[in-house]
Amino acid sequence: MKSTFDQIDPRCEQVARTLGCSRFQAFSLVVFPEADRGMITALTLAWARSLGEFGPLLIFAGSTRMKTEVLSTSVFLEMNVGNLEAAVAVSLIMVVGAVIVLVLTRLLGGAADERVARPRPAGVGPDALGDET
Amino acid sequence: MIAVQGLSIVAGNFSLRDVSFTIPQGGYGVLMGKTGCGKTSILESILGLRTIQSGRVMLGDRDVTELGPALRGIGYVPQDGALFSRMTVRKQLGLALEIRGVGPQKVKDRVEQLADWLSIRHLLDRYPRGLSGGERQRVALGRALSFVPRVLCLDEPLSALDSETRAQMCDLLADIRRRTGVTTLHVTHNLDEAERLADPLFRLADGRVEIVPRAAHGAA
Repeated sequence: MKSTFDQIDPRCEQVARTLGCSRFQAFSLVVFPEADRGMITALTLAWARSLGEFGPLLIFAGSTRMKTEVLSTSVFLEMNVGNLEAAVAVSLIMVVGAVIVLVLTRLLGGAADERVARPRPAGVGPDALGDET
Repeated sequence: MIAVQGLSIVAGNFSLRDVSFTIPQGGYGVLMGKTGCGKTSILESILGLRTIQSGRVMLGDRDVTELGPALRGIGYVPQDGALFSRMTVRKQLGLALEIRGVGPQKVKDRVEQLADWLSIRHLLDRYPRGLSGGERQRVALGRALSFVPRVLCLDEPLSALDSETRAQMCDLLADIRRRTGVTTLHVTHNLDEAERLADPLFRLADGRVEIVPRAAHGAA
């Protein structure tokens, strides 16, 4: 996500400021939308990373059936009771999920690579519009 | 009027000291100088995008030295246009007015007026991607002029254009000056551009800004 924001031309934010945007407006109206694909990619990767989390979940959340059970701990639980078919099925669900995430990341990342109460802002108000032509 | 008085800028090893010049109301000041001599730094100081060490920036009778860029009311066209990739041309032309709370109908009228004037009506619903260099600069100009600024700052706006498009843009800039009377500071290192547009012409060399007499423009 940091690299996404680093790649955004700072001139865009500067131009937005000269147009009358506050810092927040410049960020929310200009910079944030410019980073949309990078943010989605980052969120997707974070989700994928959490999908496969196992050790910390086992220690801090436990692996109680139907209560704190998640995909990764399900595999562990099914293996422990000897239900190999269920363990394989859950593993395949995780594999398919991971593949989908990788494809999405690739698509979104590729598309992103192709893209290269405050004081009233100064300037003449709406009444003066049209005077110049 | 743009008046820069005793401006000093320090950025790392680079510094400018005691820079002063004035562009009269409705004037079209062109600031020339070698690459890296500080032209853009001066422009950014006027826009409020760069912190200055000392000096004052006056726009008309207003001292804007302490104001942020949003409150100075200066139209700004950077070298590459810096168009917002996620906004249509129409949205970009109307942004400054929407921020100022102008009603939708007036925004629409103003956008169409600018589009006709700059010959970009056919681009209004397009995104910046795929626009030519000349089209990008026209959109950037329209965006900068949308809120009827009294001052316009152009940072080498024609440097990436071919000679034919550059000539067309020079005509357009002269037309903008005639129609709006906007006081302009145009930074460039292109002598042809400067000779066509400058009134007055300044040269930045060795950290000092000197006005170049019209008779000596060719030697600037």
